[in-house]
Amino acid sequence: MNDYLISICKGAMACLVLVVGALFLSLVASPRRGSLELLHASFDTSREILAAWHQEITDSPVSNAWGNPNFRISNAGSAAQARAVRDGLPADIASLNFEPDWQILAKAGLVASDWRSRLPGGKAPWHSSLVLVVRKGNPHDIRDWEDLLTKPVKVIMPNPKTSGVARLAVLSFWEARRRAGSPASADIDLISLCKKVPVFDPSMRTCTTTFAQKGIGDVQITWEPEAWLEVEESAGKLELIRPKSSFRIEPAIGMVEPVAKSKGTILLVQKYLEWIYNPPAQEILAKYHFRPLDKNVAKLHQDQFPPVDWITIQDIAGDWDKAVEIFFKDGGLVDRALREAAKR
Amino acid sequence: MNRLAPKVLPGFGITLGFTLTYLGFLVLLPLGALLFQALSNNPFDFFRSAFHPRALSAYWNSFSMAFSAAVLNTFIGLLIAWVLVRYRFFGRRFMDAVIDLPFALPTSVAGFVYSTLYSERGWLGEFLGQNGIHLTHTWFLTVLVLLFTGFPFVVRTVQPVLEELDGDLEEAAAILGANRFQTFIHVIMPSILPALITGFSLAFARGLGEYGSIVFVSSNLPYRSETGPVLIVSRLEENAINDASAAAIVMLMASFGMLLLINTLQKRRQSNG
Repeated sequence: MNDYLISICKGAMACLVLVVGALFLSLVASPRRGSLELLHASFDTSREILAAWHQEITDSPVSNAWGNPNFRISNAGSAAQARAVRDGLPADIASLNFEPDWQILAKAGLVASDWRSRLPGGKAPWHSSLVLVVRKGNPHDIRDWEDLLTKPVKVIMPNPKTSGVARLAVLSFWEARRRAGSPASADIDLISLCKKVPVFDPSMRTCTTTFAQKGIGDVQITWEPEAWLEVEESAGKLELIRPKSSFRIEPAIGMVEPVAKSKGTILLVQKYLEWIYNPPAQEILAKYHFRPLDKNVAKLHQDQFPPVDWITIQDIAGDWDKAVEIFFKDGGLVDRALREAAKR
Repeated sequence: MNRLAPKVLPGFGITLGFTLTYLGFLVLLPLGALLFQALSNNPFDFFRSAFHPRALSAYWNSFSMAFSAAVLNTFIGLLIAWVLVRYRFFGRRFMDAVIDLPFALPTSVAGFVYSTLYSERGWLGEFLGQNGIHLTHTWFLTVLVLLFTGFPFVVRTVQPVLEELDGDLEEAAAILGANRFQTFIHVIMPSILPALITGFSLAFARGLGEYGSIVFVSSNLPYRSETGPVLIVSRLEENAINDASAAAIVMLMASFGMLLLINTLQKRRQSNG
């Protein structure tokens, strides 16, 4: 009996040694950190901008002054990225395009809750709007949010349960309808909108595939930079329509302080966060159709960025906590709308 | 104590210890963590999230899709295995190898290809659309993809049993006056049924857990066409980790219960027969 227990323990030990050995090997095999490295964890559609920014820095004398740091990018959906950073992705900088996702990080003590106040000038480096994409010639004559209700169209948008942009689209639509009627009528309009959605893709990019490549739906709700790329790529098959009003989308961006502290990159991150307000960085933003903060750069590209009647979270619910409570929590307005829409 | 008496074959203790630790690390530890996560809130919250109307509709969608696909797969898989085992023809080896492709192909690729092919722009979808058949994001197309991912399980479990089947039995049945149908039902079927049931349950379990392809081909509408795994990922994206783990526990229990039930039935059948 005792002998058996001992031999069972021996087997267990052998297994432990094997597992620990494998872990050790994978540690040894993983790439070593050489020089200074800066990891920017960001939302999905900022991939191209970040790559262009980092290229610009590496090619300019700035890089030398900064000690030739290595830049690395991590891209995922805003919510997924928030979870990754919270769960230990060693990002020095985070940028998320949906404010409540940022608050997940703030609650974990990783970033400042009031990210604007930490930025130079207290303003986000860019903003953007929500737009509609329709098929060539705009056959259903879509001009504004209202037309999504009155015209017999199928609407493509990501799942507002998972996608940040879809939630902003819901807020834009609801507020535009509230201005045209009342909160109660806007609620009903939101249900009608949900009934016109034939499929919920998980993210904005997959929606673009559904709409542009698979040819499903008549109108796609997306945001400005994505719509530009999509329309340019379609070679005349798609058109961009700007509703009169839109939520003012601003990326929450800032230092992940505990990580930067442990990696010794605090100064570098501060320089980086200042640099993105410089004309070269702002020019890159405009090139990728994000509305730059810098007035001069914005002026150069003003034909690309017609004025929009901006909607803010204060207009809708006062603040984000209330908006999440009313719209997005379980049993909230969006949940009710989806449930109603399912009963067709 | 007698159970632990020395066995003839040496090394029992050490291999058992190894196995237990290994299983513990790879299977029990993560499942335990999941259970712990789900139960760390009060039980009322757990039941509320586990049996939320949205979750209930998701379980039903997963179950009905996986079940339909598994039933169809059982028939089709048996047919394919039969053809591969009983006939010799040009390209048989090639066909045999092709069967395994769904194992190797990432299911997300399968999902993407199916959804593109059957969309209004895809050449098959375009043709069907002209004839008034629209399959994109329907229940039917989802089942079709599950057919694709699941059928190798049935083929690969039935095939070896069919190969082992002795031709003498069928000859004897024929000599004793059984017609072909009777031979199939009374002679062949009893021998391959256990393998068939195993294949069915494997395909069924695969369908229940499928995510990669379903997220592409299904319309993923909450309360309507969202499946269990899609719901779980969606809940995670919503940062509702407790809801996600509650749904995961239910899916896990349901799958485990079903596999256990099928295995028990099969054992009982075997010992009776």
